[in-house]
Amino acid sequence: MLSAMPLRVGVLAADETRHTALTKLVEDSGHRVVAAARADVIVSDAKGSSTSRPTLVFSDESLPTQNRLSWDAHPNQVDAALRALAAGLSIQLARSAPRRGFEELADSAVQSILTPREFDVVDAIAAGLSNKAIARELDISLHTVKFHIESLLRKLGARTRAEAVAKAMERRRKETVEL
Amino acid sequence: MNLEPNPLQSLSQAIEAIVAAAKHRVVAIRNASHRHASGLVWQPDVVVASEQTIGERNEYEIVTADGRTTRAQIIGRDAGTNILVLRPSEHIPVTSYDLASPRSGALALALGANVDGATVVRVGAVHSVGDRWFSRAGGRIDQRITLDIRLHRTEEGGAVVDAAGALIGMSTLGRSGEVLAIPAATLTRVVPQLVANGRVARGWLGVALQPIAVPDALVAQAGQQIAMMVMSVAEQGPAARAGITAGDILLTVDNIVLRGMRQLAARLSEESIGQSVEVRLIRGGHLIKLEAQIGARP
Repeated sequence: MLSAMPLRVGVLAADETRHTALTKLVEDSGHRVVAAARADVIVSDAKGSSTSRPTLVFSDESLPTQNRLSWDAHPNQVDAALRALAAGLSIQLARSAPRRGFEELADSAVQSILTPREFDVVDAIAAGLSNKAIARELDISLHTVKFHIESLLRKLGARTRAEAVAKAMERRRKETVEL
Repeated sequence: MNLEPNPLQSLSQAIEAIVAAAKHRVVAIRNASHRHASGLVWQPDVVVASEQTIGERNEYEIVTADGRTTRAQIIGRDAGTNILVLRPSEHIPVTSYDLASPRSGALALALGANVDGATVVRVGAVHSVGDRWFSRAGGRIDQRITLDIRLHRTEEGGAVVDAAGALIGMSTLGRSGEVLAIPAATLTRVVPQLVANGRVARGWLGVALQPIAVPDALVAQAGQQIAMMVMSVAEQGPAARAGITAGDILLTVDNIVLRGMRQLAARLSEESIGQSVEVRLIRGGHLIKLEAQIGARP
């Protein structure tokens, strides 16, 4: 049976202010703060000492790092993370939130926009396929695959296949707009 | 060394006077760990901040310039215009703003707050003033105002004022450290909507789009070389209901050629909600037309 019992949570912090802040985060998420020795799971600021128990670290950056949440995390997220850790799982933010600044909706340079086929090819490279395998997968000749890759490298300004994949992903992240 | 009174002293005194007059309008917004951003007191019961600086928690602490602390709750936010509004539990006395019409080259002061609410000031100039623009989140910003000012991220969300102390806008960090002001005109337009509804009404198709080159074989038929490929479709969204699926290549919406997104973003105004639009697209090598009804962004 699933239980919504509050967890026993230990708090490790560098100073009193952070200890108070962490205690509040735990209590806001519906759990109980207990001595670290009796805890199911530990919360810590980045400066807290290490422990053998599952530990949720709060930090200023919301990097997509394991078992790490931002100080601004919603109480529901804190609750879910604590329960996951107590159950022996690790957590990671689904959406890394890189605050790169408030950006303008910009139009891409026309000559560097990829075709649908070029997207297929870059996805296939990302999946680790060789040129031969790409040709088979997309049902095109090896010559055509090479032609597409050359065009890809040129449009993305990449020297290697790996660089092309990285640049294509970065561009997809930057160019995709939800409307 | 005793200098005669000189113009630099007068300038310095003038700047100090502007700061003294405006500083009670800028506050620190603090989270549980005492990390903070700056905010602008819009009216006694409304504090405005930069949306991108404020996290998911609902409750924050506001520290005024004279060091008083009050709790505050987020009552609305709009990533499109980077505006967030908080309601402090106690009123913060301010009078209404004079609004500036910024010109490039004009002196600009960016006021922020440190973690204890004390005022911090940057002095520079309005770097450029451009036309209205659209953010990546689809919001319309009435002018593109950039500042020749450096800004620490904790100072973001404070007031930018001109030499008369009039409000140019709210400071915002743009891409690669560029410092922008969200214009006073945009705040005037958006803040009341956020106070009333918690969000800004905006037209919505429910698609994620990426620019794509139309394959050579289809250029003549499509009549354009650049289009937008549908990367994903929001479940039950307007596009999904119209039968648009991932992989479709959208050519035009309501006769707007999708070379870029700006015109489409402009088309999806509040007034557009409920209107029907014709969408021309390529699917499986064929050109087809669908009818979609613009929805309201959730």
